[in-house]
Amino acid sequence: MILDWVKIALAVLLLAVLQLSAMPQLTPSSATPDLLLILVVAVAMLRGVEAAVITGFAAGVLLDAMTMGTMGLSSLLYMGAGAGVALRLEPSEQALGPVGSPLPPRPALQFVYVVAATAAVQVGLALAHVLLGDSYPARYELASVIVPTLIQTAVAALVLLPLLRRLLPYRPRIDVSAIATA
Amino acid sequence: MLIGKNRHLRRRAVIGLLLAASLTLLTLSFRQGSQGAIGAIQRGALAVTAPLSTATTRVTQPFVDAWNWAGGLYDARSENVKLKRELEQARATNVTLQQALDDNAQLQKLLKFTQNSQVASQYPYVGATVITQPGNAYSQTITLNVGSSAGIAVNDPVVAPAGDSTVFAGLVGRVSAVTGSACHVELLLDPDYAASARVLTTTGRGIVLPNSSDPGVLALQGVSQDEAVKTGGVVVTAGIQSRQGLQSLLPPGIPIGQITSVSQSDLTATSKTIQVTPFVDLQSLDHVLVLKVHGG
Repeated sequence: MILDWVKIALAVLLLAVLQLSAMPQLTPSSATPDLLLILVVAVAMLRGVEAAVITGFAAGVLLDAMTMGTMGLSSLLYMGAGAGVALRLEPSEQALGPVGSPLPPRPALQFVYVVAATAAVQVGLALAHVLLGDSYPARYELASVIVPTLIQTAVAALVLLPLLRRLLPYRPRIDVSAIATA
Repeated sequence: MLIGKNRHLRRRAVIGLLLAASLTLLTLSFRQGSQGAIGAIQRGALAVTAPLSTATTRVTQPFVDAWNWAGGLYDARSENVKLKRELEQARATNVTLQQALDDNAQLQKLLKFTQNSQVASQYPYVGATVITQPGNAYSQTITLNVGSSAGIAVNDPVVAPAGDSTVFAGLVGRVSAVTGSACHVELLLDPDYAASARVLTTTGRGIVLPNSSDPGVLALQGVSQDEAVKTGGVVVTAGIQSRQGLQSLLPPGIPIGQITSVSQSDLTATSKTIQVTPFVDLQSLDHVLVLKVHGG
């Protein structure tokens, strides 16, 4: 368990640095792939709600701190995305036998979750900036930020998701005591 | 219930705590900007991650350079193709403009000829474009894009812009055959061509023929030894009319060429041997005027 958190912490640090240092130089547009979000979604799928929320919070704080942005904004969005994915994958009583454990979604579905979460975070970020009064025109946001980020994140996910699956092997997160009482 | 009650509470506590922390950070961030605790957090994060960022940049720099090099190469290739296409277009435009300039210069000369030449003022004329050039040295004929429908008739003289600046246009030849929309012109250099001519400022008269020993040059034959004909003299059509009423096919005064040599081959000969270079370059004709002497 502790080793998991060490791995996640290192991954957050490494991906934040990569996202802000290397990616802007490798991508053709001003948008960059959201590597931290891929990590948050992967943690949500492989480790559940709590881990996803904690990872999202840490990743968001680090990202906002490194970019000298509005602290807390990325955290909220990442936490929301992580919690949303994790809760959607939470096993229900009907889906699970008394001693069984759910498998993580297939790789293709994991990819879909990453894309969906990226879209949600990007739209959320744009809406937040509208609320904060420092938004760009909608057409620019869509064409130059949201869509390029979505595409680049999807491409990055093709490489990053398999690595994260190796880094954080799947572990059933069923409360054994709860099953026993059931 | 699959998830125990304690775990539910713990989850809610974690989410609530982090949510509150995020909102607190957000509020503080708006209140303090980059000052105070928020600024300290940001500076601290920067201090921790800056060395990592530097190291990452160093590690990834070769890949970034390779990526940028590949991208630059692709851009350079695309730009190269684009520039080549533009260069071809510019060249084509340049050729067109150059052609227009040449045409303009030739047409200006013809216009000046019509304004200054007595012949052009006596006869109606029509402009024409050469549609076929001389096929070979033995067939010195050209085809024009005007014919009998424009009033052209056989034996009408044809003039073209001259290369020499002293005259604007010179004789090219005569119309030898006509159709409704085109005509053939027999050039001065055709072996069958002959025209009566005289040398300006003298009374010397003779017949202009192609020079059989020097293609591209004319010979003026029949000029008496007594005539003071000199190199540089201008030869024009004579427009002879005989006492019997016979008239030469060409009207008088159309420039033909310039005398380039005068000699006497034989002491007993009665006439001089005179070489005449045509004013018009007969190998590159584009625009001509047909003087409607016989038609029109």
